[in-house]
Amino acid sequence: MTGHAASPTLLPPEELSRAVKLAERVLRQMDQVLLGRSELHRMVLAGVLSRGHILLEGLPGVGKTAMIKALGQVLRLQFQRVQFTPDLMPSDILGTHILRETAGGGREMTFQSGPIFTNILLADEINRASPKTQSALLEAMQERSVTLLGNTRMLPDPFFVLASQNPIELEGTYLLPEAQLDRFLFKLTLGDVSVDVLEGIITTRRRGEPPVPGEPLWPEELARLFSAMEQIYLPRAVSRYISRLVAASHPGGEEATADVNSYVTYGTSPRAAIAMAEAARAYALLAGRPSVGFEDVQAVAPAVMNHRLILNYKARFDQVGPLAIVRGLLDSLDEAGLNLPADVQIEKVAGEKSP
Amino acid sequence: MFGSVCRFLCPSPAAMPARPSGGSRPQPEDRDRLVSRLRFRLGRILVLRECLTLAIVWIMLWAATVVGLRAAFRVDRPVFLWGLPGLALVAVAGILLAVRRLPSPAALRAALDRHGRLGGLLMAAGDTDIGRWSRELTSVPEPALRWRPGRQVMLLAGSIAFLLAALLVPDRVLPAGAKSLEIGGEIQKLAEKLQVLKEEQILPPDRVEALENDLASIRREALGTDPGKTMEAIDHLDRSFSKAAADAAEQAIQDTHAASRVQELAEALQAVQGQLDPKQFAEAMKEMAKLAEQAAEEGNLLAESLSEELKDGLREGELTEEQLRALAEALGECKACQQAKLGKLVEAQLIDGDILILLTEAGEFDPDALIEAILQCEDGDELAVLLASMGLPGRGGITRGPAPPAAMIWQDPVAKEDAAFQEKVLPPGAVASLKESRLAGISAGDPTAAQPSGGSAGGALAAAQAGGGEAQTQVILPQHEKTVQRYFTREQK
Repeated sequence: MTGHAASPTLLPPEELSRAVKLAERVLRQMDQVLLGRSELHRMVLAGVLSRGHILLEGLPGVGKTAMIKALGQVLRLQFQRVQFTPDLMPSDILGTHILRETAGGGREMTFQSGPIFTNILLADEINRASPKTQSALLEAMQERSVTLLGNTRMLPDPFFVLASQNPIELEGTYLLPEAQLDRFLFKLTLGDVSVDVLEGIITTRRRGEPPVPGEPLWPEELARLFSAMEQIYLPRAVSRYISRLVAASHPGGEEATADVNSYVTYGTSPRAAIAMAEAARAYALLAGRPSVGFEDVQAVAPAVMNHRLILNYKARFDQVGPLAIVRGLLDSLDEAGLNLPADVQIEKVAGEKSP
Repeated sequence: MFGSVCRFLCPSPAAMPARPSGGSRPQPEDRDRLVSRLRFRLGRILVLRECLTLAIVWIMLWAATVVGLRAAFRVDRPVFLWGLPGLALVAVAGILLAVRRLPSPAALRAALDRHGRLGGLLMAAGDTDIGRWSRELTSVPEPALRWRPGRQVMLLAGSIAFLLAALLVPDRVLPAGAKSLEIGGEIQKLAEKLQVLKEEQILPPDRVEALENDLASIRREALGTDPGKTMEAIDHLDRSFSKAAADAAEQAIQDTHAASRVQELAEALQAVQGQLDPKQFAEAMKEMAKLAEQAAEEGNLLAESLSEELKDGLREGELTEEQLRALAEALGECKACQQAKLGKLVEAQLIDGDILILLTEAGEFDPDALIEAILQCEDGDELAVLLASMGLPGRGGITRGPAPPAAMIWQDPVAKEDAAFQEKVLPPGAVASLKESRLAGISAGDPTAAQPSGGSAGGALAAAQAGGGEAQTQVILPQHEKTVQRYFTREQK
């Protein structure tokens, strides 16, 4: 058995339509707040619907914090921001026990929760904190709970960590450990925007202040979105494709490409396969489909895999990045796994249109 | 032609029969039928492709085997038809491989989903009931299958050409094998000739046995790489046989001639028995006995054909009329035997047929002329001279053969003018034997100067040349010869 339900049913069209409208509403408002980042917003929303944490990487001033703020406002979720610094301690994030006088004159240890007890935690410049502080997030990100002095406290639901890091000014920073990186569903890179977008920002924003989202989602609407997400069907062939993709990212794998064998030290983990399946479901939902297709996997695979591949020094010398390797994998792997000879191909008949 | 084959193998979905429509909501059976149809089309292509690939391999192996066996063992062409049933096995193997390679229906469903950009809906339909979403699958595009068999077709054409070339190439073009020289026909002919020589007792048994061993040895050691040597050995044997047969024919002619003389004399004596003086007749009988004895000594056949009584009569010089007649008959039988013997040799192509004419001529005699000559003899001495001359050639009359040859002497000077050696090209076998010659020794002479092997790098011997052994060939003037001689003879003292 592949772990599928006994008789899964697809999301009815009208329910899917309602969920898609909600998602489009979120995306539309985010697009209004942050111009020229439609695809990024789609990926971020897919990450949120997958209940995953997202690592944003980009130069200062490209709108990382603004986007995360806007997401909190649109989803009407509690939002906390922590500026990570080298002297930041785990207790500054998780909280601590303090000695407090009771009304009767006695004293007791009470827990003062940290900023992590929120729905959306913006870990700004997460790579500036020490590894000790970075590791404080491990349990929270995976278990969605915090354990202090033997007491485990659950975090609010939903809980997301949206971290940002600056790819330059690496002096005084600490690279995120692999275990931490693996806990991020996506690593998204914010690149430059076009001249038109810049012109739009300048002409429509006084001092760059983004507009306040006008139609934030109510909690029950967000719950409906999560519920719809749960019913997106993952076909077995797609599960197989995801598994093959993850297995092929390991050097020496049966379907590993030459680049993987040359440049990759360690491939992606099973957590990546789980993350890819969830993210592909979310992407299919945003595309208005009740089931996951190969194109959904291909859309999310770079964001899921690029920070999980551990490359060797040869890759650094040859200036080969993880994204190039992932794209090579996607190009080389036959989605359906037909294993046909190279001279036999299935081609689309010219003139026919897809339904 | 090629295009039509490709269209037959990979027909466009538009050219195929229309899919059955289940109304507005397609039934799962329609989708399954679509997948099955695609799988069938793909299977057909894969079967043909695998069969083609295996056929190329098979034909190449077949052709290589043909070349190898023909070159090494001169195997006849019809033997290689066993390759044809192999093609049937290739077809079966191709089908099995294609079936193993054929994708599962689920994989083909996934491929259809991908090509139709159906977002996993078709795959989901294969896994579970998709309910109202099946309306979205009313027009699933059926993809085209494309197979580019150009490389395989070229390889197949090449392999077939290789096979045809391997089958049709003449034997003479093929490289000769180490044991591939076919000399069975020649050996058989020689064996037949030897058998004739053996039957006619021309050759002694031990010589026959040795020649039989030689024949077997030639057959066994016949090398295709050096046919000249074998052919030379065959020719040598053939010449030996012919020479033995020619010697036997010459002997037969001489025997026949001697028998004819005796027969002539016997018939003549038989005719003049009453007309001659008994003393003269007895002398004539003794002469005839000498001739018969001489002929019997020279020819074994004559000795065998004479009875003991006749031999005793001949030895004593007293033969009755009956014995004379019997002697004439025996001599006639002896000649007939010689005729038959040479006939067999001619039939075996050991001797020329013209020898039979010589034999016939040697057997001819004219008793009337001898009778007349005997009767004309006036006394016994004259008769004795006449009879004695019968055993010597060239002593009277055209029927007595040529004069005896001159004695061969070696005292006369021989002129060297206008004499030249006859140039003769050595046969291959003789050349090969020269190659196998060994160095017996080197005559004394001036040593050859060796190539300098490089001078010394430094020290006292800097630039000194190595090697040496060169002869001192300086010319000694006549006035210095004595001095030099004294120098070399000084130590001997």
